[in-house]
Amino acid sequence: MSELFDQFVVEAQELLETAGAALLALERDPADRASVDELFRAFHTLKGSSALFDMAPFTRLVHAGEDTLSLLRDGRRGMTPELADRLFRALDQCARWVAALEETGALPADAAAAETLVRGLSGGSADGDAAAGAGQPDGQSDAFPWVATLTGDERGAVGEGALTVIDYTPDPECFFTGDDPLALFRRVPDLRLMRIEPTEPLPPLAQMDPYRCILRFRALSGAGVEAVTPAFRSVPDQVRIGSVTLAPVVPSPVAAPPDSLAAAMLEEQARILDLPGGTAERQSRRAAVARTVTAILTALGRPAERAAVETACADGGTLRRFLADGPADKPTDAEPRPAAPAPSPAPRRALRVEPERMDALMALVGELSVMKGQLGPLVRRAGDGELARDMKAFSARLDSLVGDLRHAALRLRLLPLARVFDPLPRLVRDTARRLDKTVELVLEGAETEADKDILDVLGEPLLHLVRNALDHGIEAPERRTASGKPPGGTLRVRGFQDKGGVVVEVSDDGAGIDPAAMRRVAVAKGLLAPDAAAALGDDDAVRLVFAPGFSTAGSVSDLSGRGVGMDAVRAAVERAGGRVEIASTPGSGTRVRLALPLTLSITRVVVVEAAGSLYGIPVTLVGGVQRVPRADIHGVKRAESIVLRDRVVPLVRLRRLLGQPDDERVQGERQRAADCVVLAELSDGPVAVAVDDVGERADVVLRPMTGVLRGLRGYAGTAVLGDGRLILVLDLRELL
Amino acid sequence: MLVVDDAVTVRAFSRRVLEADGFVVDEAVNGIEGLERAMAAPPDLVIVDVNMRKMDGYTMLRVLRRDPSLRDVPAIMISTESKDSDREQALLAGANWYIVKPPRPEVLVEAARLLTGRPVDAEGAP
Amino acid sequence: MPIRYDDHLARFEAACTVEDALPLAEWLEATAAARIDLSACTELHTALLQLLMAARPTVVAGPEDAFLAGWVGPALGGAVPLSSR
Repeated sequence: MSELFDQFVVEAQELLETAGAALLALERDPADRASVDELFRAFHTLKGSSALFDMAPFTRLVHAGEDTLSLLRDGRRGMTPELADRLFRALDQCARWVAALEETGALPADAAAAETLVRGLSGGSADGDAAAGAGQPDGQSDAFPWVATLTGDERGAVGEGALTVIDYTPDPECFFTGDDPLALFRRVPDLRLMRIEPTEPLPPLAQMDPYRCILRFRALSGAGVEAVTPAFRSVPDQVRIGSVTLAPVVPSPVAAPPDSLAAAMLEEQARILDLPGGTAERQSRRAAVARTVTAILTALGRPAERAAVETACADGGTLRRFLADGPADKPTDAEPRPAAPAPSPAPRRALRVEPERMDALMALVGELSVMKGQLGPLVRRAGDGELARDMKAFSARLDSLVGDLRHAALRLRLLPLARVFDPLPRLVRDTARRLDKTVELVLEGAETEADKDILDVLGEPLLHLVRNALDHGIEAPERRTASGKPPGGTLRVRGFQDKGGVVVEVSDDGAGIDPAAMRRVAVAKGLLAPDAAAALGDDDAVRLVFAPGFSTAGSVSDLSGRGVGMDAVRAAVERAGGRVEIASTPGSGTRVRLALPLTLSITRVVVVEAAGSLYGIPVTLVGGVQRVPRADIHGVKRAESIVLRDRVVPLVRLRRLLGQPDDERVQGERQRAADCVVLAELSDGPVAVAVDDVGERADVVLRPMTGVLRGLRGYAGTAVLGDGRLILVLDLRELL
Repeated sequence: MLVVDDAVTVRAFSRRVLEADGFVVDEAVNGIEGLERAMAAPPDLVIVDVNMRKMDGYTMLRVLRRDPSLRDVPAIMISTESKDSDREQALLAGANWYIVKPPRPEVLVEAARLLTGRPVDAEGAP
Repeated sequence: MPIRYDDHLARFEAACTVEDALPLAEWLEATAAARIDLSACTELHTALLQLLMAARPTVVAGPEDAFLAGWVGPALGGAVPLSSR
C-alpha cells in the first residue's frame, strides 16, 4: 500500500501545482477555456485518486471543487475574485493535507475546518442553497458514488426503486456536544443498509482518542427524503441526504446465480446489442459482446462454442434466450486463458532520489577529484621512461573521466529555477490583491538550471524581494496614474546563467529608491555621520538598503516588514558565495540582482598568488582582472586607491591582508611597474585586491576548514587544484 | 491486459490489484498511448478511464472498435460518474462493462476474471 | 456500571454511554485476548463502537437488540472497508 500511497502523494502534489497555475491563469482571463478544463481535470483526478484511500474530507473537498468547476465550465457560474480565493484556499488546504499525508501517512484532525471550505465552495453557487445543508435535490446519485459500489448481497438487501441515501460524517468533536451519531440511525425509518466505516485508518488503540469521532456512516433507507431528514435535524452541516433510484437487478435464469456480477454483465451484453448505432459500429460491438460472453461463460465453467455465441449475438433477445436455454449444466475443467504477454513495464517518468544519497555521491566525487589531483605529481616524479609515459596517458584518461563524472553528478543535482519561481505568481496575486495594486508578473528563464542547494538558498530571498517590490516599489494605481505611468505595475523576475553561476534579477517599474532619502534615513538612524552620508555617491546611498537594521518604508508593513530586511537577503546570498547588486532610478524603478555560484559544493575560483602561496577568490565576486601601472595608484602607503571604470576604488594588498611582507623582492628583480589587480565586487562596493600574480580559473571542491585552521578568519575553506596543489579559498568579506 | 488512466495512482492501484491476482498488466496514460500499446500487443482486456487529456476513453474505445484486430477485445470503462447516462455513453462508445471509481479490488478482480474467461472461484493464476 | 469487566470478558449491559469510553479504552489496551458479551446491551454509544472496531475483541455473544444486531454486529465482525486494504 505504501508504494501506492507514495505515488498518490507525488501525483497529488503535481496536480495541485497544475491547478494553482491554471487558477491563476483563469483569474487573469476568465474566458480561458483551456485553464478551466485543466483545473477541472486536476480536481477530477484528485477526486478519483484520493477515493482509493480513506481520506473522506480530502475527497469531499476536491469533489466540491470539481462540482463548482463544472458549473464554471458550463457557464452556469462566473469567475470572481471571491471564488478564486475560495478555490485557492481549497488548494492550500489540500496541499497542507498532502504534506501531512507525506509526513504522517494520515490526514490531520482538522476535517471540521475543511467542511467550511466545502460549504464555501458549494454555497454561493448559481443554484445557491441547493447543495448546502441536508436537502439534497432528488436523483443526485452521482453525489453518492459509493451507492454504485454496492456488492451483490447489499443490492439484494436494499431492494430496488427510489431510495434515500444518507452520508453522515460526524464532526470529530461531536461527542463533546452530546451527539451519538449511531443512535441517530435508530430514528431512520425503513433502514435498509448501513455501512459504518472509519474516516481514517483506525490507529492502534494506544494512540486513539476515545473522545474523537472517527467514524462515518453511509446508509440507504426505503423511506422518502422528507421522512429521513428529521432524524438528522441536529446535524445538518455534517450530513448529506439525497435520493437515488436503483435499477432492478435482472436475474439471469442460467449460467449464473442471480445477483452475481456475471449475471449483471451478461445482461449488460444483451443490452449492448440493442444499443443504437451504425452498421459497422454495431458489428464491432457484436464482436466484442460475443467474445465477452464467451469469456464469461468460460469463467463460469460453462464454455460455449464461439460460433454459437456469435450467432446468438444477433440481438439482445436472442442472446437472452441463448443464455436461458444455453448449454446444459455440465461442469468442465476450463483451462484459464493465459494472459497476454506484457510488452514492457510502463515507463517511469521521474526517478526520485533521496537528497542524502545525492550528497554522498557528491562527496565521493569530490574525494575522487582530490585523489586524482595527487596523481599528477606522482606521474611527474616517475620521470620519462615507458612506464611514466603509460602512467601519463592513464592519468590523462582518468582526468577526463573524473571530469565527466563530476559534470554528470553535478547535472543530477541541477533543477530548473521554476522550482523557486513557481510560488511567485500566487504570492504576487495574493499580495497585490491585499494591497489593492495591479501587478503583472513576468517570469523569464524559469528553465535556467541551478544546483538544488543554490535553489534552496535562493528561495527565501527571492520571496522577500518580490514582496518588497510589491510593497515598497510598485505604487498604488492612483499614484502611478498621477505620475503618468500605466495604473498596473510590472514586476519582472528573470533568471539566466552567467560566468559559471546563476543570476536572478527582480526588477519593478515602481517608485525607485531616492538616494537623498536614503542618506537622511541613514543619518537619522545613526548608521552614518552626516558628512559621511553626504560624501556617499548615489549608487552607494542606494546600496544602504542592504545595511543591517535599515528599513526604507516609513511604516513597518505587514508584508515585508517584521524587521527582516534586505540585509537578510544579502546575508543569505553571500553566505552561499554569491553577491547582491542593486540599481535604482527614482521614479522609474528598481532592479536587484542576485548572483550565485552554480553549486555550493563546487566553486569556481580565480587562482591568485601572494608571497609564494596560492589562493582562490570565488569567480562570482570577481568583476575583472587587470594590470594597473604603479603610477595610477594614488594615496599614501596605507590607504591606496585606483580609478577603475571611472570609479574610485580602494586598493588593498593581499600580502598585507595576510600579514605577509610587501613584495620587495619581486619588485627588485623585475622592476615591476604595474600591479596585478583583481576587482572584487562586494555588496558594500568594489575593492581592488593587488596580488603577486593571477593564474587559471578552476572548479574546485570547497572543503571547510577543519581542526586548528577552523579558527582562522578570512578563509572559506581549502581546495585542491587539478594538479594536486592545495589552495586556500579566501572569504574577502571577512578578510577586509 | 491494458490499464489506461491518466491518474498514476489509479493505474498503480489497478496494476497492484490485478497483478496480485496473476494478471499481466500493461499501462498507458491516455487514449493515444493506450491505442499504441493495444496495437503493439493486443490485450485480453482493456480497462479505460473516461477523462484523460489528449484522447479520452470514449474516443479510444471508438477507435479500438474500428480496428479489425482489436474490435472484439472486451473493454471495461471506469469513471467517477455513477449516473445512468454516463454508463450508457460508455456502452455506446464500445465498453462491455462499467465500473464506478474508486473500484473495489474484489469487484475489479472478479470483472477481470469474467471478461478474460478465468474461473471466478479459483485461486489466483500460478 | 453498564459495562462489567470480568478478567478477560467485558459484559455490556443496558445503555452503554460515552462515559464508558475511557475505562473501556484502558481495559481493551490492558487486556490481551479481550472478549466481549453484547447480548444484554440495548444501546451502544458511537465512542464505544469505534473503540471496539479498532481493538477487535472476540465477540462471544452478539447483541440481541434488533438495531444493534442488524447494523453493529456486522461492523464488529465483518471486514473494515478500504482502510484495511
